[in-house]
Amino acid sequence: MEPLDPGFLNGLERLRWAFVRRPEGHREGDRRARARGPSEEFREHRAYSRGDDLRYVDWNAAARLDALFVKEFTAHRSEIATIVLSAGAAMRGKQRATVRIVLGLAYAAARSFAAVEVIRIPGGFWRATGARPDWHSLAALLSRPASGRGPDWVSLLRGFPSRPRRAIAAVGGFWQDGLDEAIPHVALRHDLAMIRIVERIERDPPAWGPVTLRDVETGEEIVRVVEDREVTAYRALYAGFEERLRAEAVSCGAAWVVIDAEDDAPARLWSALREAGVLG
Amino acid sequence: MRFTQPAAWWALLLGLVFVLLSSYRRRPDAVEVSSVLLWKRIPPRTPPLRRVRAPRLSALFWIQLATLAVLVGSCAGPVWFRRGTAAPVVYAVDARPSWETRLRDGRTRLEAIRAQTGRMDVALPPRDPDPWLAIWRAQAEARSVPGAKIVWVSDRPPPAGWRPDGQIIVADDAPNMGWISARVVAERIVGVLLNHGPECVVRVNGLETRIPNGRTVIARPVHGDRAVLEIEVEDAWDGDDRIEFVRVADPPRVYVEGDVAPELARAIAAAHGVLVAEGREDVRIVTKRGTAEAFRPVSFALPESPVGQGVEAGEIAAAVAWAVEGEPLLFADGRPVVAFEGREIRLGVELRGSPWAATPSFPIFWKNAVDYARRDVMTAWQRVSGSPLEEALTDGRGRPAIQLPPAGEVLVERDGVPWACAAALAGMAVLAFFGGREG
Repeated sequence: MEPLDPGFLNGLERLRWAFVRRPEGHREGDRRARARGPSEEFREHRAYSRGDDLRYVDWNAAARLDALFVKEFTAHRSEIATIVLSAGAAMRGKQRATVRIVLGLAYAAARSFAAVEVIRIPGGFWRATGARPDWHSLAALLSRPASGRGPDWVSLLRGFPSRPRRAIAAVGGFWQDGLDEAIPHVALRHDLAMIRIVERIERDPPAWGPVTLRDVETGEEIVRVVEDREVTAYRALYAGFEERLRAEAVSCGAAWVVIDAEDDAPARLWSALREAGVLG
Repeated sequence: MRFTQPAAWWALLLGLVFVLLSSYRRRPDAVEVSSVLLWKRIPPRTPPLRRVRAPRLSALFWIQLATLAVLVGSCAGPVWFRRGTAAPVVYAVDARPSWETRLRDGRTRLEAIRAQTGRMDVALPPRDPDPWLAIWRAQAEARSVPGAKIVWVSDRPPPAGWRPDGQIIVADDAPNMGWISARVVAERIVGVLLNHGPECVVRVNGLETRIPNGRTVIARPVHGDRAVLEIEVEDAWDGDDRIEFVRVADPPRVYVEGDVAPELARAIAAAHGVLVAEGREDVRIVTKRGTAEAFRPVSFALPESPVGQGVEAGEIAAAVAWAVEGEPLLFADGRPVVAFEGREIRLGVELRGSPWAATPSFPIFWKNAVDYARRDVMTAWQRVSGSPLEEALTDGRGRPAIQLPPAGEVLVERDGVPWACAAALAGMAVLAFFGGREG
C-alpha cells in the first residue's frame, strides 16, 4: 500500500490526538523539577492545606493577610506537536510500520495543534502550520530508504528545550542505554509518547549457532555462539530491558507503546495507539 | 533415446559430495542485527565443533544436484531419435549403346542393372542430340528432388558438367582387362565411394602409394569403437590382394578424421545402398589372389545365392575362397569362391585374369555381398526406397525419370550432447546467480 493510498487516508480521518493530558495521580507542581513559564498562567489563590508544596506559597499574601495561600496555575495546552523518528539502518525492516504510524500521528496532530513538526533522523525535517499541510512531501520524506545511524535518543531527549511545551512522539527502536533516565527529563516538561517498533527477530532471535553479530548501524561486531541457551538468556534480557523502559515512562507520565513491525496493518496500529492513549 | 557412454552415469555418485557438504552446518559469516546492546551482555563461549546434521535441502542444493545430473548426462552421450525422411538416392544410369548389349539371359546390361537396383530411384540421362543441354536438364531434374543424392552408374566417367555425389564405374573394355590389378580394382571400388570426394591412399605392403589419378588416401580409424573405415590394398603380385572395408560402428554413423571427412561422408552417403557396410562387428570384404587353377572361367553353381542374384559370372576366374570356413555364398566348380564368415566376406577371384571387374555385374555383386553382410542391419535400418525402377522409367526411351522422395520414414539420430551441455550451462548460470545472492 502506498503511504497516501486513499484507503489509508480515509482511515486517518477518524484519528484524533489524545495524549494531551497527564495520567491520573499527577497534578501541576507534583514534581520539583517541573518548570514554570509562559505555558503556565496564574489562575487563583486557594488556602494552603497540609501537604502543599511550600514553593507555591504566596509569601507576600501571607505577610499581608496573615494566612497561607497557595498560588494555582492553569497549564496551557501544547501548541506544537513534534514527532521524532529514527530512520537509521536498524529501521529497514520496520519502515512500513514507521511510515504509517508517523503519518497517522502527524495527521491527527494537525487537527489538534497549531504546528506539527516531523524530525527524521537522519534525513530531514517537515513542518506544517497551515490549514493544508503538504502530506505528499511528508510521505516523500518518510519513504526514503532507512540508512545510516539513527538518533542518539539520550542526547536528543535531554537536549529538548523545555519551552514551549510540546506534545512529543518518539518513534524508533530505542536500543540504547540511559533512556530510562532521559525519558523523565522530557516527560516532566512535555507530553511524551514513546512508540517502540520491534521486529520479531529482535524479540525472539533464532539459534544461529556460531555467528558474527554485526550492529547494522554502528558496524560493531561481536562473535557469539547463539544456541538455545543464549537465546533464552537474550529473551530474559530483552524482557527486562523493555520492562524497565516501560515502567520508567509510565511512572513519569509518558505513554509507552510497543508495535510489532510485522503486524503493521493500519487498523492494528491505530488500535495499539488508542489503547496507549496516544490517539483517540 | 540412448546413451553412447552409459558408464558415465556412475559419475552421479559425485552427488554424494554435495550431500556431505550440505550435511555440515554451515556458519553464516555474519548476521546483521538492529543492535548488539543486549548481545554484548551475554557472555561468549567457545564455538562447538561442527556437527554433522541432516542435509540442508535448500533450493540451491537441488539445483546443484540437477546441474550435476545434467552434466553427467551430457557426458553419457545422449542420442535422440527423431523421425525423418530418408534421403532419396537418384541413380543416373548412362544409357549409351554399350549398355544395350545383352547378357546370356537375354536382358540388356541396363536391364540387369535396373532389375538389381530396382529398389532404388533411377534416372537416365536422355539421348539428346545436344549432350550439354541434356546433361544440364537431367541433372537439374535430378537435383529437383529434395535431398537427392545422385550416383552415376556407367562404364565411363560422368561427362563434364555432371557432378554426381557418387558413381559406379563399370569397365567396358573387357578385352583389356588382363592387366587389371588389385590396385585398379581398389581404385574402382574406392571410386564408387570417393570419386568426387577425398583422395584415396592405397597402401601397398605398408607403403602408401599415390594412385595415378591423383586420389590418395582415405580412411583411418577413428575414436575407439565408434567407427573405422579402412581401405588397404596390398601388392597384387606378392602376398594377398586384399581390399578391406572395416567398419566398427553403430549404424549408420561413419566417423573419419582429417580434412576429408565431409567429402568422405558425402560419398559414403551417396553410395549408401551399395558399399557401405554397417554392423556392430567388422565387415570385411576380401579379395584374394587366386591360384593357378583359378584362371579357368567358371560358372556359379548356386545362382540362387543371394549374392549371385543378377550377377553374370560366366567369365569369372575364381579361386577357392580365402577361408573355406563359414557360409559359402558362391561356388565355382564345386568350390566356394565367395564365403561369408562372421562379418567377413571372402572372395576367391583372380581379378587379374578375369574380366569380371569389367562387367556390369561387378558392382551388383558388391551390392549383393554387402547387403548380405548387413542383412540384419537392413531390417533395422528403416531406409525406405522408392518404387521399382519400372515405374520410374515409363517411356522406355531412357529419359530421366525422377522418383519422388520416398514416403516412408526413418529414425534419424540426433546428437543430444549439445542440448545436454546447454542445459548444464543454464543450470550453472542459475547456480551462480543463487550462489551469488546467497553469498
